[in-house]
Amino acid sequence: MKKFVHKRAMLLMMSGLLLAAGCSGNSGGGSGTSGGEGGETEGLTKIQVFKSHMGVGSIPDSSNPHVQYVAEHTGVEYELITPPPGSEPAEYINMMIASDDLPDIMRPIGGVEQTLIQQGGALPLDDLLPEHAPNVWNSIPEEAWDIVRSSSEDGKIYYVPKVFLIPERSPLIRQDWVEAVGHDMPETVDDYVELLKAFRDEDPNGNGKADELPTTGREFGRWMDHLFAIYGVAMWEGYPEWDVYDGEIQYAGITENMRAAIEFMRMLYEEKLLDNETFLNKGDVWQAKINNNLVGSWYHMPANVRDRLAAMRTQAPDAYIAAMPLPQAEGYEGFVTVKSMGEPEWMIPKAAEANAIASLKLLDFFYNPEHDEFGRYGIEGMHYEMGENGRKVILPPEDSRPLRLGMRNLTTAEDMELRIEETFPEEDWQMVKDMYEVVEQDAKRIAGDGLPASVYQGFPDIQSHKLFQETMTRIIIGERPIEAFDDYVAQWKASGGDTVTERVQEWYEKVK
Amino acid sequence: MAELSADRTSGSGTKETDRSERPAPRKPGNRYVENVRKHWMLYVMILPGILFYIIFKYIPLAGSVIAFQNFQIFNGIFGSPWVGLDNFKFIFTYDDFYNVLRNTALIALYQLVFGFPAPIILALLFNEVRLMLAKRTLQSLFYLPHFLSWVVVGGVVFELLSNQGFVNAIREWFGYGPILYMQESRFFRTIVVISAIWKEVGWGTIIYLAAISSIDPSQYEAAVVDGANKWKQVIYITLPALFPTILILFLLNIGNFLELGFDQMFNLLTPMTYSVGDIIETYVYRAGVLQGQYSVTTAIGVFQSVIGFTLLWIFNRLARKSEQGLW
Repeated sequence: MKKFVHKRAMLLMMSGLLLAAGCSGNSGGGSGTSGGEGGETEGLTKIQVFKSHMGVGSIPDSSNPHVQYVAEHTGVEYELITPPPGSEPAEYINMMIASDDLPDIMRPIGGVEQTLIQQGGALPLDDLLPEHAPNVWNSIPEEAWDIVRSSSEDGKIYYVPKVFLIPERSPLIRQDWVEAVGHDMPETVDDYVELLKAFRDEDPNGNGKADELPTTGREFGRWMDHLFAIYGVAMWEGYPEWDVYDGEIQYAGITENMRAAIEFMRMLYEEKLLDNETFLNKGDVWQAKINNNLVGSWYHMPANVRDRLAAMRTQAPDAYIAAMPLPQAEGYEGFVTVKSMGEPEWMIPKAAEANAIASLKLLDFFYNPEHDEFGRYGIEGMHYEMGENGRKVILPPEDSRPLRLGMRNLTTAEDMELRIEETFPEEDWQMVKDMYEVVEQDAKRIAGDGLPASVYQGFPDIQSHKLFQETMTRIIIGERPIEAFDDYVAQWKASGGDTVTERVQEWYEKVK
Repeated sequence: MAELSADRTSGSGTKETDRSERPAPRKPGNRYVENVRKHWMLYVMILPGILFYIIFKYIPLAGSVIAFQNFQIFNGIFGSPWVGLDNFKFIFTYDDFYNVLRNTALIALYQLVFGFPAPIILALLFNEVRLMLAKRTLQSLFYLPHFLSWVVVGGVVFELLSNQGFVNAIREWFGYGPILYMQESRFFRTIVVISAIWKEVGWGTIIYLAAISSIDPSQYEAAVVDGANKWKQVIYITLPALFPTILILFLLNIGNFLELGFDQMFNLLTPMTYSVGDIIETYVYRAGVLQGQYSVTTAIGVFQSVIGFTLLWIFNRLARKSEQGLW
């Protein structure tokens, strides 16, 4: 008889679990250590580092000059582990956990940090950080450490948080298109709609075809936060966040603001102002549409427009991107969501305790101001080259170019200015700096910044925003009436949303 | 096996004398040992298969106990607290579960009604192609999609049905506006069933073609003499001869009734079609693999297996009444 009793996926998972159970006795880290604890001079400690979203590139081996440079300065040789681009990092990380193959230090994804913390799988860092990673300890603001403490029941520090002190994402618009159709930057929602209509009808890309997509987003409603932001919806890459509405912290996905935003987008969709393929756009398709001068208004990171601009300019030499100030919607206070601290960045699994000091030493290397320049540029010829005016120019990522580990995730306005000057050609500096100046005006740090994923415990569908995504997309494409939103709100509350909201409000009382 | 071969070797002579000449009734244990010694090569050949089932099917079955635990991955099976039937209670009181179950059952039903007969019909058609070269070429062309992964096929389906895709190009030709089929829930199940048939139908014909080729040609010759045309030959000779094969494949299929295959659905599903296409596998992926809710998703898996086993048992009993079942 065949496999009638069970399904493949579950089997895979369960054999993994069994292995995990079988091997849970071994306590050492995954990697072999060649040197002793104190043996910095005679041997190197090998540390496995897991970091996702690294983009394209090859995995550096131990002969890589970047690895060797770091090893010379720290006595720690890093071994980079990263899921291939385009794969699901949360799946990768859960497989690592299930097979008891955790790295020495890792960047948790998808709320996995709470699994580790709650089940005793994470190492508390309160005592280790000040001693072994002083640069990390001192450069991260106390406020951020407090948020980290609030995310565990025992109030200990289980991870190093990401800190981003400036807005990272912004509504972007083709300034050259705005000029081509003879409009000004929109001030109200009505202006914005008129502008989008002009994008649709007046051929701003000048190719004689009506192929313009005035604005667009991605599948699951991701990366179209600008349309939500106009109505004051706290949104992070398409996931509703938690912010104060009517005096209390709430899930933005069920607010009146969200209803208004959805109604607005439904109109845009019907008028073909919102790309009708929005919810079918995979990331690469979305990017291709922008790069090929088809899109007028979108949402992304100003710091990352370089490759996009280069692609646009092959067909439209005058392509110019600006940040769009949020158009005013009557009765709503629009803002661009900022999450600036508290998101987990690095944690050390308990199983890797033996290598914890070496891991922290590695981490501290990157937070040490002395190594700032190395951290930004890497190795000459491999990661950057010397430009004409004696400036270092970072080379674009390629499949064959080795990736380099960076562990510092602390960005101040100063950092960003440097980063712009490093990665962009001089003539574009002002353009990018202007973008940050504009978005700064609309940016607001939300109340739910740093909210631990543990509040979702037991309600996977609330955590995955499934109900929201289904309702939002179907109303926008016109398959359901806007009234369906009210049913969804009731259903969301009944299926666990109320419980989660209570937990979030308790958490907020603690950190406020 | 043992008895059969024993009978054959000592089959001559009268049975009475045979029995009385035996020195003593041998113990069954001895007979097996002897049988193994005699046919050791056959036993060695099935060994990898048996090991496969033990290691990858039976041992992991024990892991199903986590359905009755609040499984904590860092504490393992032995360190996690027992919660009795709590996980099952959670599933059956969970709103969305019935939607997921309904989708799974409905799509499974469509797959069975439309997907199961497809390779039989195609095999009968192949069988009528007389030109060997054409037959071989056609068969290969139909096998081909089986070797493509759903990631590829899913991409092709999305592309064909996109705004600028093939189907909408034809619509435009006739003066109709484009329809984004992939995001409209009313088309979703049809797309699922058709794409599954397209991908697997050729592969499914292999067993039927083998069964057809073992039909004695003299039956057809006799039928022709009696004046039966092609159609009648199919109805009265080929199909009846295929029936046992069809029945066995049907039973194997019914045991997997609720298992639609994660790959296909995952690659075709969008939030717009959750209401009609979110099935057990995609739910388990979201909750189990992405969010580490191992216990609840294992409980769902156990439930799924129980349904599959029940269906198999029922249909096997029915099959035994007419023909033969699996056991």
